[in-house]
Amino acid sequence: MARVASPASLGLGIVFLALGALSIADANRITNHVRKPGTFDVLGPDGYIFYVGILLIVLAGILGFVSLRQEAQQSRQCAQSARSHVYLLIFAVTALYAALIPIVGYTAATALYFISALRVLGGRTWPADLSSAMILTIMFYTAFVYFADLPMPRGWLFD
Amino acid sequence: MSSFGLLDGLIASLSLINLFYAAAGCLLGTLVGILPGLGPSSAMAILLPVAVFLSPEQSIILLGGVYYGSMYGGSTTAILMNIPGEVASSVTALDGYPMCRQGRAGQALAIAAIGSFIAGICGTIAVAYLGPLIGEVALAFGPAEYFGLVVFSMTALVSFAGRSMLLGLCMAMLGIWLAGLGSDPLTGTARLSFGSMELRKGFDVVAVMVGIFGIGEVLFNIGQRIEKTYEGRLGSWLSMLPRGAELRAGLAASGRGTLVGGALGLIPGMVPALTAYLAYDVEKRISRQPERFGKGAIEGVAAPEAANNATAMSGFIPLLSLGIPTSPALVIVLGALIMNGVTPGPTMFTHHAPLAYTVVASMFICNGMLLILNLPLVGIWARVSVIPYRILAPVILAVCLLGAYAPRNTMTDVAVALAAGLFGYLMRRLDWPMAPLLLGFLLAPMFESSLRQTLSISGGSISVVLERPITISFLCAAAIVLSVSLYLRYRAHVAAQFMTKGTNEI
Repeated sequence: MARVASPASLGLGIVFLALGALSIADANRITNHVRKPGTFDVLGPDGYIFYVGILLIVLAGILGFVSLRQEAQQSRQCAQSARSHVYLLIFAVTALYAALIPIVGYTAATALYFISALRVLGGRTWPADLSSAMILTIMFYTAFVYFADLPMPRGWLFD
Repeated sequence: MSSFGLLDGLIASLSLINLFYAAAGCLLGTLVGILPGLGPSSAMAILLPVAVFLSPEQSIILLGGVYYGSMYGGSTTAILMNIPGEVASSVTALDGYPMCRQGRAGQALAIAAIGSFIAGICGTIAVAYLGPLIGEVALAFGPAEYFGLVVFSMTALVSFAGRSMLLGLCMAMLGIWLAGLGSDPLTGTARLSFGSMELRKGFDVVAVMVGIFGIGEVLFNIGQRIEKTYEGRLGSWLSMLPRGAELRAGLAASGRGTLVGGALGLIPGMVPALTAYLAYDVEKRISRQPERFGKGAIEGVAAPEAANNATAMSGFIPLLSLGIPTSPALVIVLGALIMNGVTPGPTMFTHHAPLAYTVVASMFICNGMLLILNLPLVGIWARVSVIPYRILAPVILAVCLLGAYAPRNTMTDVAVALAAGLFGYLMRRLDWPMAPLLLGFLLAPMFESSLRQTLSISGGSISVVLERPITISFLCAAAIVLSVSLYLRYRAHVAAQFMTKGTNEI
């Protein structure tokens, strides 16, 4: 069985290399500028992340050399052919919802989110989606704002 | 010496007013458990002022009901939507959600309720009879012992690593790195925060968990054009209950989970999330078909659910007999006791016997009540799995964002959950294991604290761990478990290669 390096594991290796380098750099910053010598804490906050950084770099190296099994790649590729890109759209809508909450307030943003999400996920008709979105918003408001009394973020346009 | 015993406590706790507070606590706790982000500690903290106006017995019964209820409630969303309502339920999701996708949501929910009940009853008996005797075990644990325990707990990574040990190790390291970001747990030094006040707070485990498990799962399902979580038809309520071999397997796993959760729950710092992971690990290791785990094995639901409830219960032993709270939720219970003029300690079962035994007896009541409340609801909850995904997905995503926001009331956690969601999607798509990341994230603070404290005590020499019998036992156990697991993995790999080769030749 031929063993090939997968782009995903190489990508992960690069990410680990970057995280390891960040850890070591921050450990050096703490050692040189923050930590006072002679404390009882032998390892210290800097020593711990230094070794975590070293381990990440070692793993990055191993990921670079050791490859994943080819058959696993093939089986995932077969499954991927059936996928659509709607997930990216719904993720964008959800991220927009999170961004809108501090602007228009929780309730208004939730109503807008449900309308958009239902449309993106293959809405039936506008009136049906609008009424579903309203019902869901009322349910969320009742459960989380009215009964659970969660301190929701307030927008500068509406509460 | 007081002659007040468990039976007297049971009679006292069966008063109408105590039953009312037990029911209210259980119901509220179940709701808190279902909502991701709103943990038992925050709900109990909100109720603490109310507890001042109640008698000590009633306040502890109410808070205890919330605590046990939330331990159970967290499993509902984990099974139905793959969103763990509590961190402890993230393990339940590993097999609970696949069971839901197979149309076995009812069985999963029922065994979670039954497992929690068994653990609750056994835990209560342990609190009543073993509590005063074995509570002192907790005092034998110093930093070196914790270090040994964490190293032993990390061997569970082998079970959760999936198809590649290397990837499992990488994910665990990523979890450890993420947990290290923010303020250092011992001195408060800012690390890897790059001057940002938000990053200095570190990542909240709920935001990371909700993102990876909840948002990642929804994105993946949408990408695969799933119409419903379960496409088939659900049967009657009775047909949803586990029976025969499935029930036997679930009950046995519940028993084992209770033992694991109960024994480890005595140790301060062993939160239900960790014992649930270890109970799942034990089940997978002893199973004759470990490949079933992660694909809908009922033992994978029963054992962690029993373990997390047993841990919740056994945490009362060091609390009542030594005054040591083993989890944030129990700190609030301790607060309620102190506010009512009762200081828990070795004399609790003698000087405050009526209170101690009424509280212990109320655990029986609360666990029975949880089963009565939740078993009839199994049929209703299971219907969630046949709601069209185009309606369910936006609801789950909205709940996830709320769950990420609620613990610390910051939109940064929402952004973290969204980023973790994208990463969770990528992990599913590439078949990377998710559980090691969360396990690394959960264990890292305890690992770091115990390692640094041990080194500080010994003046920098790690050899101090070899002078502690408990630590040596843990390290030896870790070495044995790791060697056996790796050997079995290697044998399974060789056998699989041999079979593939044979099939190709045919």
